[in-house]
Amino acid sequence: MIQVSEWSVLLLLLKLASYSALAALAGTFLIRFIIASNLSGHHFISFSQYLKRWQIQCVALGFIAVILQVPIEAGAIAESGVAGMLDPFMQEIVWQSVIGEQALFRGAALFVAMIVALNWRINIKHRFAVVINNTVMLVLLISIAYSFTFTGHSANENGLVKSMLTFHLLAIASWVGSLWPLYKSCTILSVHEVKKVMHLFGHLAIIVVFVLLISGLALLLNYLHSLSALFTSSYGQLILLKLLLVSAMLMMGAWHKLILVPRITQKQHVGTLKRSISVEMLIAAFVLITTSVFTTLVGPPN
Amino acid sequence: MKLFNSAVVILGLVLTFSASAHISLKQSTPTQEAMLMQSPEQLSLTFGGEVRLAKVIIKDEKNKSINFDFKPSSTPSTDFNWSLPSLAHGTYTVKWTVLGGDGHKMSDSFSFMVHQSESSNMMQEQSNAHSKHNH
Repeated sequence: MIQVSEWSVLLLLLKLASYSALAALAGTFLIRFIIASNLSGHHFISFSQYLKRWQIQCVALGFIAVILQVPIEAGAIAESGVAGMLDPFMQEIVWQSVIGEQALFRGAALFVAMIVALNWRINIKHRFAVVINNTVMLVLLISIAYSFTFTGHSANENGLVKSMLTFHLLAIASWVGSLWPLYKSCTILSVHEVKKVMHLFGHLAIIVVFVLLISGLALLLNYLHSLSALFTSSYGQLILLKLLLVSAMLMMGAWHKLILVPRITQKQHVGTLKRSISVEMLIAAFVLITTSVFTTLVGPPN
Repeated sequence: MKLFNSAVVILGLVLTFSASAHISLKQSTPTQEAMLMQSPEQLSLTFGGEVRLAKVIIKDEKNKSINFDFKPSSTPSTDFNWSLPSLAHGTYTVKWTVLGGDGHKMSDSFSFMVHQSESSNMMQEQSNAHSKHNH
């Protein structure tokens, strides 16, 4: 039986904040990549400025989570209230463990990401500068996603499993994190521009979903050694719940791509699409919560 | 705070399934539920993998902590040993908390019983001698 204490809930919220920061950063990167060479004009400038602010806020959220990680882990171990968070012995134990390594690695990656986000120029004329900016941000995103493999059930896995988990995390993060910028695009961009962005996102989403499913299947085969474990173990049941939620997101994505987006220009408004994206965001939030629960409180069956 | 407490309770109710075991306590001296005829000289814990030991508490049946030379260890190891003071007869509970190699916190407890300690034997003998002398 899992003992859910206040500390477990705090650790769960910390994981959720870390996942959300990665998702928002990856999703914003994807949308920025789409609009960079396909939009122009004052709508593009306004949307880009919004994305820049959003990206800085995402990195700040990630930073807060990193700063709180070691004290909260120390407090959870000390089991002596808030004072335990500052216990030097407990902090030393946490700093010298994989949690400390994770916090340092992720903190460094977020620090560089903050510099890149702050120095992002919306109208970069030099193609070389765009390539450098995108490459650095992609490396940082991979590094932040990889840092999640330092702790938990993947900590003792081989490089292949860790790579699979990194790409799985990046794929789901890009998808989930794109939804808020797409939702905001319905408010900032014109109807034709929204249609263009949604159309291009639909193309990229196919690659994202492909990576997500292939890596997810490989991880499932690695962690669950039998089909029955999917139904009998708590870890398997939570994976089933996540699969159900991701399937719902997939169906909504297909509905957007095949039905709603083609209708945008016909109806000349994006209200239905905006509402539909907000429902998809709600499901995405449940995906992140489910993932946080089974990576923080529940482990794969032995 | 009420909302936070409610969230903890709801989460606890939802998560009524068994958690998978990570690194666990492989062996201990005294063993779980051991019935000893004399006070144990040492407490030793052996884990299934390397852990960082954060806390070990020994409490008697009156919930009073027993002092021994425990210090938290940030060096990972599988085996830990401490000398124990002489324990009077009674039931003792050992509660341990460790940080596993994967960064997971684990804690558990076990109990053992001391039927008769050397010191209580000596006290008993002294008491008997004293009562004989009085008679």
